[in-house]
Amino acid sequence: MLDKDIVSSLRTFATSRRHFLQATTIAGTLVATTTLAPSSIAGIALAESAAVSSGDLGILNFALTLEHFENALYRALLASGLLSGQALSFARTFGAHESTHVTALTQTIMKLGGTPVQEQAAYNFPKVTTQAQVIAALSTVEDVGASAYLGAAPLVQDAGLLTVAVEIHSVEAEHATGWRFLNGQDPVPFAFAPPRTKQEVLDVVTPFLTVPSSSMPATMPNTGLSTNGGLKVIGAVGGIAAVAAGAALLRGQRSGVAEQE
Amino acid sequence: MEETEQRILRVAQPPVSRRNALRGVGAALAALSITALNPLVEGRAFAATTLAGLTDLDILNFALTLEHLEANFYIMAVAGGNLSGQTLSVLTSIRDHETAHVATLTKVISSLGGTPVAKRAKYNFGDMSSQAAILKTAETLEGTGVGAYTGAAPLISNKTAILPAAASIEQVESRHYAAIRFLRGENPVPAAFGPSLTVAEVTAAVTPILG
Repeated sequence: MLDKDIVSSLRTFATSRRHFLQATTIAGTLVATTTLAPSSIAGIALAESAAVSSGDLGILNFALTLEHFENALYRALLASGLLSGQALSFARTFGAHESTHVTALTQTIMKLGGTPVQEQAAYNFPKVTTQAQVIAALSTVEDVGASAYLGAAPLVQDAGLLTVAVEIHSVEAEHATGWRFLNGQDPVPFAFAPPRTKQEVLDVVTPFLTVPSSSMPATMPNTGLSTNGGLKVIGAVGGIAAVAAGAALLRGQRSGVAEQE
Repeated sequence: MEETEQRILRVAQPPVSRRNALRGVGAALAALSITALNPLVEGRAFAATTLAGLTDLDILNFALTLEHLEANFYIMAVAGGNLSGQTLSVLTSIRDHETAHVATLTKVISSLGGTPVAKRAKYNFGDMSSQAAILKTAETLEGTGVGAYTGAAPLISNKTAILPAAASIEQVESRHYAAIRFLRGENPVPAAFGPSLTVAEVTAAVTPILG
């Protein structure tokens, strides 16, 4: 069932972006939250009883799987201390977007009666030791994310969900553009963006989602990365530590979400 | 062609009585109106810009109208001699992309039996005398382009060929938008969700340029 609240909750996130024509200097905006009362949002005429297909739920959960990875990756990288300047600024801003995507997709899947996938306890993150490597890795990750949404979005049956998928798709591509600038790549590399099928995306991301058991920490580290060779390596351990480190940031955003419900 | 634009305008801006008639209609029509903005948010009357009655050919021609506009803007901008450095390089690439979009959309519309809109004889792009002015206009154009494609995406009937193509172009417009913002020294990604605009909003944004 697709009720007003489901799409409304998604539209709430999207609304602030719509003012871009009037406000072209929104620099620093981290999360597209609004202060709208839910009752006003529910005033939109929506599909009252449109059924959401199981296919749509599957696509949403696939997207959520990727968003969890991106979100955890940004948290780990932000906690690594490797970033500074514009790269740090981008990582904070773009990471907050991924967190918002996780929250929005999770809420939507739950309200549709599905079971949202959870963030993994650990990821096999790309091994990076310099800011340049971080930038290159994020450029690739965001390009893959954009191609994944491009492959999946046209398969979404529900019109409201399709629109939101395209809106998120835009943002992943914009993230990639930012990293491409910092990476010295062509920021606008093609006239027609290439999609990836689900299988093609899995071929790329599965190594990062698969954590070798030998690298799994026995216990959850609780002292951050300070004992790990001066934060030189981001791996599964770093990822877990970063989960804890990023909790405060996430908590703040989630409370903002809760207020909108 | 102007005939197509007029038809789009009629659908996008229905008379008041029709708007009222659209209230409380069935799920299919209501689903389309998801793309309309919340009237309380925007402080204006609910706009039933549902695009009902528009065919894929109409939507493609509407996209082509925007692509003509963008392509000609960048052709003028690059030829004008006021750009330099990375801005010149990026806007030259964008010019080529928009030109490719024009060529492809024209071909697709023709192959579907439609009549592709032609470019206008003249556009009013405002101040083109400085790099800063050009980038400012470019940001508005690209933002409008992204929002137009996003708003139109769920209305496309052909989900296997035209929708994926439109989404592919939408992504490129998004990259242009972020690149222009970066070149202007702005945060390249101002929000967690991209914009989605109705045809009426897009029309309002580009009408001054179309003259």
